Amino acid sequence: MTEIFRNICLWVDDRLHVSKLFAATAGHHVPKSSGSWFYVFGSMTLLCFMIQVVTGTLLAFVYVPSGSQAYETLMYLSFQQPLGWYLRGLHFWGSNFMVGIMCLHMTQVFLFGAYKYPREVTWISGCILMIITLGLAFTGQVMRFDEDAYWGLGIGAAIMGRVPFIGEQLVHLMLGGPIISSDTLSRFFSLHVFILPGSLIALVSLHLRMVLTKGINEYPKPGQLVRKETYEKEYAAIIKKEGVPFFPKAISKDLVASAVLIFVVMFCAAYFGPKMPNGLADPTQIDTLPRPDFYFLWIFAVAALLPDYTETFILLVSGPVILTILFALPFINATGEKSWRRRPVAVMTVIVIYVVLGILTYLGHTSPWSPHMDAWSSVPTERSRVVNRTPLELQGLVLLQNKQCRNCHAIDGIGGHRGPDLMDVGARLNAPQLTRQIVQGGGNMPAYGNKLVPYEIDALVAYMVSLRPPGVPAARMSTVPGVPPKQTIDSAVLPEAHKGR
Amino acid sequence: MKRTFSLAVMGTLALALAGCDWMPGKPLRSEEIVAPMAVTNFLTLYNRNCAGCHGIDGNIAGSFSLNDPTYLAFVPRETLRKIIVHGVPNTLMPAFSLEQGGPMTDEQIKILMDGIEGWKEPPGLVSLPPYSAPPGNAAAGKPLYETYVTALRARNGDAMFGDNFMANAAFLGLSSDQHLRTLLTIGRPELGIPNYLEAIPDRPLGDQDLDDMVAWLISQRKNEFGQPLSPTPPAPVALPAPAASSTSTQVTPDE
Repeated sequence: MTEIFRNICLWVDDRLHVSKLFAATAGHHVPKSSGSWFYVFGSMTLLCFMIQVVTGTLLAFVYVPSGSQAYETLMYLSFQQPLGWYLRGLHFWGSNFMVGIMCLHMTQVFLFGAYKYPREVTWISGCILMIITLGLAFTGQVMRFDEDAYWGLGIGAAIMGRVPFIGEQLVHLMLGGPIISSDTLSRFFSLHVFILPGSLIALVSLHLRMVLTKGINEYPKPGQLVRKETYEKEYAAIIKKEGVPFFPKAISKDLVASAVLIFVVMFCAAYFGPKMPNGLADPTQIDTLPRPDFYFLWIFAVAALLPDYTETFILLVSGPVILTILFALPFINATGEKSWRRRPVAVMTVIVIYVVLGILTYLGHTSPWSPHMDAWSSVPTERSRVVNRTPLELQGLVLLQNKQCRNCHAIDGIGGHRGPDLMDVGARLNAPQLTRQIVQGGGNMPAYGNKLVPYEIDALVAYMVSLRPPGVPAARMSTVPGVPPKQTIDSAVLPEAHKGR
Repeated sequence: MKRTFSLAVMGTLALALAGCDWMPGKPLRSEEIVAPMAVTNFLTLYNRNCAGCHGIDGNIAGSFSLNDPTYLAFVPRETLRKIIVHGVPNTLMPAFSLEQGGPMTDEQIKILMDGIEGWKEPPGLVSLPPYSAPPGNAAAGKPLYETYVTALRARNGDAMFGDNFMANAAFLGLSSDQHLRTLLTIGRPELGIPNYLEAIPDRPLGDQDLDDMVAWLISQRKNEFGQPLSPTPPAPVALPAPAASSTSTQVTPDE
């Protein structure tokens, strides 16, 4: 029996050359020093992609990529299909980890100088893989076809539309028409499940092929410089001296890391669940707060915070510039030191990029520039901001809600954050200053002079003057010298209505 | 031993997989984001549309608390419904009906009304004055109002009297007659303004007292240049038949 089985295996190997393929791939020798925990991120990213392929295929059994049914099938998966929510969770967290670990992989490659001679193509194919991965992430969030997806597409189309000469055609190509519709979803579905994954598989093949032909970067040692004339001989010597087969030696840490990754993805899916759609896409719905998934929050923040006049230039130029720098990196910095210990500029670059991206991501998450469109009718006011107020001040509070001031101005942190918090505005601005600000606007605030009758302004100002920390007097006129604050408040600054407070 | 351990791990995994439906990550129907016009939960509707001005759950707000049983006993249901649907013109109460440009469907307004009604309490022994009534005698209202303010000041201190309390031109200019009547009648107990029975110690206000005080406050209205307004009272607005507690036929709706 054993003999028969052995013969079958030998026959298969003879016809398919499995053992030769294995020896040339998994069995190839790598520097022993590359069997490090720092080298596991590439295989982890690939594992994430595999998770995405499997879970995405299963999701596609149920998901219907049509404008009228996408959201419905998502709801079915989330609430009715047994463990459908878990499947969605695995796919969602798989994508999060794929983007995150890919960034770690790129960082490690950059800091370890692995992009340098002779691995330029490995680096460039990796950069294209990054673009495809981000493309998968963007098209993936469109699959939810919710408010986030709708407005995300809107922003994408708006950026495309700014391309000179061919902007309109690009928007048409992207959306499948002049507006976001079912055709748009079909296009993005094709991109998400066919074009981008297919391209990614092709590029991963090239990437791995380059790893096999040009070898895995040895763990860099400070002072060991890369020279084009000598590097390949030195690398061959390293392999000869301390090379180990990738399987089963160097792969051990990858396997452990992969097991941990699978466990963490499963845990996150089970504990945190999938990202639920942010309401059915509805362009007439204005009191929504669409946000992209976390990996695009920084772009969201940049787009929101850029001065108007720089938007087109920066949005259209920065992308190509960044990509050009990435692609050119292995050519402009091809040789020399690899170790991050002797490359302070590289370390500083990584720190700056991470800090900037982190801050922008935080800003994108909190998006303080977005008014809370329903704050006027929904956010409460702290009791201390209501009690001991005159009837006029209470009317002022109602006006503050009714005129939607709270959409942009929080009180005690509750409300919008586009404008300053009003919790202590009475100590910062006196009544005339408040009146001027309301009537004429200024800074980021529009003028409300023609939207309010004088009594309404009186009431608003009266309430805002009362918004002060305990024991702090109202702001007084700076043009009234030598007058004690109390006297100023009573006789010089406040209108008749406020005297005695 | 090793085999037993493997079986135990496999069994645990199988059980975990089979029982995954209770995992904390499983989305709840209640977390589903529904379109604003599809919301049918009373508290969601109230929190989204009313809480900012009328408060809820211990949060008080600038306008009357809609969970105040006295207020609910005072305002007839149909009047309250009309106020929500149409708003109160020339005041800060906006219309909430879709037909009037607001955000809520008729069904949602009914759910809101039913929910607010649910905060009502059984009627007490003392019957409330009518929800609305024509203004009375301003001259008679003046001393009463002064007594009322003196009593409130003695009770609460000076904090809320800096703007001349209710006799403030801007306040009166922004408040309808009905708002003044409602405030004097049911007060704002959560802010320390008692109702008409307790405002002046040992001197419960009667129907006529309320009418007179409202009349005096109306007479204090001025335009934005500080000039007295014409004494002509506003034209009454016809509202549906009053509820049991309302005896007047002339009302000016207000929040």
